[in-house]
Parts: sequence; structure tokens; C-alpha cells
Amino acid sequence: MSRSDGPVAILFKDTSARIAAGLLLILTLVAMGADVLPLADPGAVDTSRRFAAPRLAPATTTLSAEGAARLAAAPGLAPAMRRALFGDTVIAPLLGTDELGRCLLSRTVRGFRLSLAAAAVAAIVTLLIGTTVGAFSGWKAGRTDAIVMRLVDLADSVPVVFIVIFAVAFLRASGITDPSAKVVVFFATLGMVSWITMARLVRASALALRTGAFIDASRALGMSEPRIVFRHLLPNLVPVMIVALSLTVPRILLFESFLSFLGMGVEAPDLSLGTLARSGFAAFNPVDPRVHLLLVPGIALALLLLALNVLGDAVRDAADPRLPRP
Amino acid sequence: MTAATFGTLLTAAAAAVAAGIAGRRLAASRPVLGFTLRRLALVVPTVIVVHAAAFALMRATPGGPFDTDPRMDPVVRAELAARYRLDRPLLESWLDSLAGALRFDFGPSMAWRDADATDILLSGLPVSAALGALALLFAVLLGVPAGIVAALRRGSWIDPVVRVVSSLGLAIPNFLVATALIALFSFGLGWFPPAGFGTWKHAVLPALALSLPVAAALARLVRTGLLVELPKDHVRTARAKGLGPARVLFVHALPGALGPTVAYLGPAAATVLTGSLVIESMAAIPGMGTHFVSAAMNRDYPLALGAVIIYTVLVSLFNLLADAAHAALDPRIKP
Amino acid sequence: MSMASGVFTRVIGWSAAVVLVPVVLLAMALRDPGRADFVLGNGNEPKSLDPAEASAIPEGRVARFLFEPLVTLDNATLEPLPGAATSWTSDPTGLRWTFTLRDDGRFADGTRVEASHFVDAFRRLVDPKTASRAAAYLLDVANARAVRSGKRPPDALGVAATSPTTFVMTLETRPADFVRSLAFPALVPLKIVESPDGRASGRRIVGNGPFRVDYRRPRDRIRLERNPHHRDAAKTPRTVDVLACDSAGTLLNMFLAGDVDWVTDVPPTLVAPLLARTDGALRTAPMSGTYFLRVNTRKPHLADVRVRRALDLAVDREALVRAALPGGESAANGLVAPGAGWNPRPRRGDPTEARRLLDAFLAEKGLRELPPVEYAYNTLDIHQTIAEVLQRGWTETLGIRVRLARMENASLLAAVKAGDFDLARGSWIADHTDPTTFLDVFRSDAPNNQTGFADPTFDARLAAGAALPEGPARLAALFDAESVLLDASAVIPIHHYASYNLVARNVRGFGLNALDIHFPQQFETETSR
Repeated sequence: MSRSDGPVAILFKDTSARIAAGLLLILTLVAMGADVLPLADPGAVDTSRRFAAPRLAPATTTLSAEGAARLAAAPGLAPAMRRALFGDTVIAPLLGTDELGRCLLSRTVRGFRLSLAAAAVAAIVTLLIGTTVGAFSGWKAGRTDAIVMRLVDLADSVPVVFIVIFAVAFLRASGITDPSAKVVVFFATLGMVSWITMARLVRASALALRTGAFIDASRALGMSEPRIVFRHLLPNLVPVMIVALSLTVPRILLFESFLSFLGMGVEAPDLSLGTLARSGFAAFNPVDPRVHLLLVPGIALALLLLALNVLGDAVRDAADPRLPRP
Repeated sequence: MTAATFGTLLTAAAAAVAAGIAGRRLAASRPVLGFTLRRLALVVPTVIVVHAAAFALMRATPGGPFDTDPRMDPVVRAELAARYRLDRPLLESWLDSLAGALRFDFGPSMAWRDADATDILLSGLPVSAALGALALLFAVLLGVPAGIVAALRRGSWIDPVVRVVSSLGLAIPNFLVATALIALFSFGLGWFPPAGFGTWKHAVLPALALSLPVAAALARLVRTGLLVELPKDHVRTARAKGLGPARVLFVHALPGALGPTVAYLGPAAATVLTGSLVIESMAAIPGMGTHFVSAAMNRDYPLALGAVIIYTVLVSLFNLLADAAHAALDPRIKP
Repeated sequence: MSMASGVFTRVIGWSAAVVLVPVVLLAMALRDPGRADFVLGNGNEPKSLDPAEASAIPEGRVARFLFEPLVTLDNATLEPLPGAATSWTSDPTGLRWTFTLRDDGRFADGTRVEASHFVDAFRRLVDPKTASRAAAYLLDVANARAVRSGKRPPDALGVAATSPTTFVMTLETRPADFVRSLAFPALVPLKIVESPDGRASGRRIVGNGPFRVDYRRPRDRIRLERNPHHRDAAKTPRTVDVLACDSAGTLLNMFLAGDVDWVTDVPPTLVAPLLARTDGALRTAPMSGTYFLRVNTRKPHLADVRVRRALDLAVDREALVRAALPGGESAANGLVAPGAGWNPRPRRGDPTEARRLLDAFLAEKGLRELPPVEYAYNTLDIHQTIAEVLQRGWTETLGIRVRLARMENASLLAAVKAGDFDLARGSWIADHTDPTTFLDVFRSDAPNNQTGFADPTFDARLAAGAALPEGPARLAALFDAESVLLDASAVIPIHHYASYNLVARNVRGFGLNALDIHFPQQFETETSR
């Protein structure tokens, strides 16, 4: 590759990275536009079609009178756009239904959205904590750095899974009853235990940068320390933050699904890919396998993680081919 | 606070400080030993931090161990609270519990009245350890050869296949893998039982499910390591001297290439231990993992704390072992 | 070259270690017990083998293998059968009962079971120091309440051994269904051998049942062997495994693989396909148990009976049972589960009337709509499903917004106890066949009432009915009492339970009954499998 190629150009030279990025983009758009798309109500019970197998025809049906009334009454822009674009049309349960006859396609899209939201909230939390700790430690260097990094080592030796399970039990029993607040707190908890990689990488980079030529120059120009940190240090840490995120986000997603699978994660009526997989596993048996209930959310999760991993590899190659891979 | 509690806390603190100082002294003359001692010294504060966090979270959570039975009358509940010392001040309970944890005696289980938490956990430990060790063995057997072949046959079809399969291995959650394995080998072919524990056959599928993500990571690490090592001078020289390809690989290339792989075995052990929470409960395996979630949910304080502490110590020790082995293997690494 | 071969040796050595360590560890962890003659998938790990601690169903099931009460029950009809006692009589007042113990009753260590063992065991149960919930089954015995509250010593309890084979009980009041209630698994003789170091792990308990403990591994199994001194020793299986596994799906897999002979629960969604199979392995029967909602009558709007009745009558129970439940359950039109002599109640549920009641309330209070109501339930898929169906029904019929508050069991019980709920899931499984087992829960002074419902009429009718001797008049009086409770809608019955047992074909004498209890003495298995 030529020297003049920017990191983004290098990134998208890799075919698999291009495919992964495209896939991620499509999946994210579908998840974000879930309220506009003519998807069935993920909570709509229809016991006349329990455990229906996936079937591709008919592709669409019309909403029931009750469903139409619900849609007409729904406030906000997205339902209005949906009404304008699709009217009463609704996609049939192409991927089958669950034990209450609810549309698995629609549920998987919502689950996917929540899993993405979990990753996003947790990523923001890791960014906040990890960057603060890492940049502070690296910038201060010396004794402060040594102490902070020993504390990070200590935090790293805590098996977080186990603490999170307690934290979730606490969260469940706490006074928080607003479901969306509960979910956000749960996601933030995931972030609070996943910041170590971020802190380590940011610290190493900050340590290298603080002795770099342009920081010296800024100092010589008499810039104040906060100004140097915010104008020069932090912007230069962005690549390493992205690298750290590429390592952390897939792990958070796996962690979320793991906890949800144990029944310690997202709670109904909210859906994540993990809770869907859990009900899929509960329904899986040799008498009447109903594999689609496990396969659909499982494949969705695996695709998401695969795309993230491939893209992450490419990001790390583009940023610095010598960085470690998991 | 009893004398025993005080003594234990003091002994633990002294041991940690002594190990830390000795480790520092030995850093120059015996680097690996010094490093090991300093890391061992860190285990004590780690246990204290984890214990404090778990204890605080558990006690802050509403609902105690004896609140789940709606038909229990107040006389019974009061007697049980006294028997299990739940009526003591919180600080006293915490210090007693911490001292017990440091002595590895977690007290009688509150949910299972016939046993002490330590005995319950110790009966599950060998099962989890065997399962974990078997999983690591499978991971090494699957991952290392795959990585070697991928590196040696770079450019052929094998390399991209290994890369895709290992990416998938990292991406597929192990509960899916376990279900697929049960469907195929248990319901489909009838080779292995779907659940339970007793014979070696019971261990195969769960260990395989646990091993796949680790195998995938190992394959990638070995491949990358070898790709760095193969072009180096000493490997080329060995090959030029006419040594057989196996000898070149095993004697000259692999030892240098395995550094990151060995260092990864610490995190790998943690991955396997964590995964065993799900796999053990899926396959009804009487390891430690099955206790973990239920003890937290039942508010069985001694058992839950015991499980957390044992996991913490295990993860610390594996990380320590892996780092020490890494340092011993590669003198350039400064631990 | 020699250095290189040193490296080579080292690599070989490490590889050998990598292979050997797991193999050795596995060999140590494995303890292949072989398949037992009879394997029970028992659900949760029993809390204790001490029958005094037998507060939940899995413990009771194990206790029936290890101990034998005075009376056992026929697995099919629930008629009392001889247990440790061969016969029993009462004096005309029904307050003094004499039990004749069998001559050949033996503990698992070969020693004789004598009346004094029952005296000791019953005193121990009532002693507050034992902290046994099972004391509730002996509260009608003379002085039991005084002993229980610590006012009298345990030996004041009205039980006596007048000869090694004669056991006498003196009662203060005549309880319902007294003889049958003695079949409860905690009311058994036992010997406790404490461990020398005082640790809980070393304690051994010797019982008089058809089996004794061989060994136990937590969360795996309790291996039982035949008690050679028991009179049925010739026909019982040689070995029994009681598996601790709380996943119905996993147990089903093991049953289908032939590794388990008796599973006590199946995943709800699999009931229909399993019933459709022709092997008849799944045996289902109506159960004496009710799933209901508690309504907190102390909350502002719920204090009004019209609001409660509106919520109650808006529930379409038949539709709910069809939509959400596996198959054997029935819609609950009353609290007491239907049984012999108990009149069926008319279909409960009337959306028009529900709407009318709510509108009348809203109009009187000048409200446009009812503020959101919260429904609290514990985390289990079936509760979730029922909650969602209820939520939809209330919203559609009454236009009420219902918030679902899903919490784990401990938190739910704490919230209900603290009165911090609007609607809360509850259930009651009968421990004997008399209707008072259900109705006593909602007496105004009962600890498990927790709804704030306190009606002197209900208390009086219940007390009057309970005082009558067994027969149609008693049932009619209790039925009237229940009507008072149902009209107040402080408790909203949803459905009656059904039992689901998977039983291997070679097991005879299993029986099906409304209490879902099965005495293993009556099982006959062909051991060749």
C-alpha cells in the first residue's frame, strides 16, 4: 500500500471489511428504522399460530382492526411515517412465531435494536471512564501513573461477571420500576466493568504523546495545561480509542447475551438477542425441536459479532498492524 | 470482632506485605520468582476488594435468605436469623465474613442446611476444574494445529478457511454451540448423553462447547506469532542447514511464536470459567458454576461469597501462571 | 544441536503435561455410579434431608423415600393406609387418638422404631429452637401453641408413649382431615448423629423409610440404597438416584434418553406434543392448587370494591387458560380448587358488568380514567406470559393502563409483605384435601393474607364451618364463607393447577391424585431395564 493512503482508505481496501461494514450499516439502519418498517407488533399475542415454522409466503398481510387502531393512536414521527408509507400493510411472520404466536422477525429486529443500544450505552461509559483514567495516568506519568496502573491491575483481577450478577440482583430488587431506566442502568453497568482495555491503550498512547514534539511546542508557546490536553492530547487519542472500542464492543455484546441467557439480563417485555436465544433454548427439545426460535436470534447475534470482529481486525490493521489481536 | 477474626486479618495483611517486599528484593536476582511473589501479594487486596463489593451488593439487596418462604412463621424466622448471625451489626458481619473468606471457611450454607459452603464448593471444584482443563486441552488440540497450518500454508485455501472459522468461533455464543452439539451428537447420533455427569462421555460435549472460542483465539494467535517468527534469521538459518521441516517448526520457530499464546492462557482460563456458568446449568453438571447464579438469587450469602472468592483466586492464579510462564519463555518480557 | 534437542524434549514434556493434567483431573472428578434401578429427577437440590426442614416439594419427595410417617396415603385414592402404625382409633370426642405401631418397624440401622421415637420427633418439631415450619401441622395438639411460643417446655406437648408400640396424641381442637394430615413427610421418627466437629456437613440422619442414603453430591444426586430392614425391602428397587436438576427441559432430555424414570415437571410448551405421543409417559391430573392475584385493598382506588370487581370480572379465564397454559389446568372461578363434594362455581368473568362498575366508580369520583395500576409478579416465563395476557385484557376491556413489574421471588414476597403493591401474583398449593387449607390464608389475622382484606363475616363463617364435622353441611358452610371472600374481589382467582409427571413405563403403582404426592413404597418396578 502506498504511504499516502489514509487509514480509512486502507481499511476499505480489505474486501471482507467492506462486506462487514455494509452488513453492519444495513442491520443498524433496519434496527433504527424498526418503527417505520411495517413490522408486526412484537408483543401481539396470537394463540392461533403458536410455534409456527418460518414460511416465506404470503410475504405481507394487513393489520388486524385492533392493531390498526393501535398504530393510528401511536404518537410520534416514526408511526406517522409508517402510516404514510405502508398504510395497514404488515410483514407476515416470515421467520415463524414463538410460544404465544408473536412474530419472530419483528421480535428479532427489536432484540437486535436493544442489543445495539446496549453496546452503544456501554461503549459510551467505557469511553468516559477508560479515557479519563488512561489519559490522566499517561499524562501525569511517573508516580501517579504507577499508582493508577496498579489500581487498574487490581480492578482487572476482579472477575467482573460475578460482580455484575450481584449488581443485577440488586438492580432487580431496587426501587427502580421504570423499565427503560432499568435497562439503561443495566447497560451502563456493563460499560462500568469493561473500561480496562480502553484505559490501558489510551494510557500507553498518552504516555507516548506527552513527550511528542508538538506537545513540547505547545508548552513552549505557553499554552495552559487544560488547553494542551483538550486541544492536542485528546484529539490525538481518538485512533486508539477506536481501536479499543473495536475490542470492547463485541465483548460487551457477548456479555449482554450471556447474562440475558442466564436470565440475569434484559427483562421482558424488553427483548434482546440474548433473551430471545434463552426462550429459544427453553423451547428446544427432541420431541418438537422448533429450532427456528433458537437459530434466528442466534444467527443474528453471530452475524453482528462476526461483522464487528472482521471490521475490528481491519481497523486495528489500519491503525497499527503491530497491535495485538485477541 | 473475635480474636480469631482479628488474627486472620492481621496474618493475611502481614503475608501480603511480606510477599510484596520479598518480591521487590528478588526482582533483580530472580526476576520470575520476584514477579510471582509481587503478584501473589496482590491477591490479598483483590480478595478484599471483591469480597467488599460482593458483600455490600448482597446486603444492600432487599430480601434476605429466609424471606422466600411465605408460610414461614416469625418464630422460625427469628430463630434462623440468630442461628446464622444475621442479627449482628453489619460491620461485624463483614469483618467476620472477610476473615472467614481469607481462611477459606465461608460458614454454613443458608439455603442447604446439611452442608458448609466450603464443602459444597469444594465438591463442585474438581468437576469444574476437570471440565475447564479438558476444554483447554481441546482448545489447544484444535487451535494450535489450525494456526500452524494456516501460517505455513499462507496463500492456499486453508488460511482463509481457518480465519473465517476462527472469526466465527469467536462470534458464536457458547450456548448456541452447546445446543448445536447436543442436537447433533446427542439427539442425532446418540453418541453422547445430553446432560448429567458421571462418565467421561458426559464431559465431552460441554468441554467442546467451552473450548471453541478459546480454540479460535489460539488459532489466530499462533498464526500471527508464526508469521512474525518464520521470516527471522535463525529460522531461515536452520532451514538452510537442511533440518527437516518438523524440526525447524517445533525447535526453532514455535518457541518464539508461542509467547503471546502462553500469555493468553490466563484470559483463556477466565473465559472457560465464565462460560462454565452457562454450560453447567444447561447440562446439569454439578460444578461450581451451577451454584453461582442460584446462590446469588437465593441470597445464600456464604455460598455466593465463597463462589465469588474462589473464582477470583482462580482467575488471579491463572493470570499469574500464564504471565510467569510467558516471562520464563521469553526473557525479553519484563514482568 | 544438544540445546535444540533440549528444547525439543521440553516441548514434548509440556505437551505431555497439557494432555495429562486434564485427563488426571477428569479421572478424579468422575465418579461413575452406574445407573440406579430407579432415577427421580427431583427439581431443586433439597435444602436438607432433615424432615423438620422439609418446607418445599423436593424435600418432601426425598423424605418419603427416607422416612415413614404413622400413616401413608394410597397413591391413587389418597385413602389412609398403614405406615409406621398398623391401626388407629379415637375416643368419642375425637380428641384422643391411639396409634398401634407395627412390631417389625425398623430404622435403617436395624434398631426398632418405638413410640418414644415419635414422641421425641414431634416435640422436636414444635420446639421453637428447631425452627421448623412443619410445626404448623401439630398446632392442634394439646399445649402445642404454648410450647411453640416458648411458654411451656417441649415435653408439655400432648403426645405420649404408653408402651413401645402404643403412641397417644391428645388434641385441643379437632383439625380437619386429621388422619390424612399425619402423612405429612415431616411427622416421622428419626435419629440424628451429629458430626464430632459440629460442622453441618458431617451430620447424619437415620430414618425408618424404605431407603437410606448411600452418598450425596450437592447439585448432582443423592444416591439411595434399599433399607434392608424395611418390610418392603424384597420388592423395592436396590438403588435409587434422586437427581438435583431444576431445568425441566434438561430433565426431559434425560428422560427421553432413558437416563431418568420419573420427572415431576415438564416445560409448559411441551405438554401438548408430549400428550400427543402414544407412549403415555406424561401423566397429568388436576391439582388442588390455585393461581391467583392479591389485590391491595389499602391502595386508594383499589379500596373501592367496584374497582376490584371490575378488574376481577374483566379477566377472561377460559381464554387465558387456552392461550397461556399447557393443557391440564382449568379456569378458576373460585379460590378453593374443585374436589369431592365441593360445588362448582358459575363461570366468572363479565366484561360488560366490569365496564359498568368501573364507569360508575369513575363517574362518582369525577375521574376520566383510572391511574395506572401496577401488577407485580416473579420472574418465570409462565408468569410473564400470564401477566402479558392479563395486561392486554385489562387494557382492552377497561382501558386501564397496567404496568408490569417483574421481580425475583424474594423481592416480590418482600413487597407483598410490606404492602407495597397494587396487584401481586400469588398461589396456594393445598397440603391436605380440606377447603380450609385455602380459606385460612385470607382470615383477617392470617399472616399470608397480605391484601388488607378483613371481613368479620368471612372470619365468622369460616370458623363456624371449620368447627363442623366432615360432611356436606361443613362443605356448604365453607362454600358460603368463600362467597364472601370472592364477592370482595380482594383475591382474583386465575386458574387451578395441574400436575405433570413423566413416568417410565415399567413403574406401576404411581397413582395420580390432587395433592400430587406419591409414596415410593407403593411403586413396583421391573428392575430389568
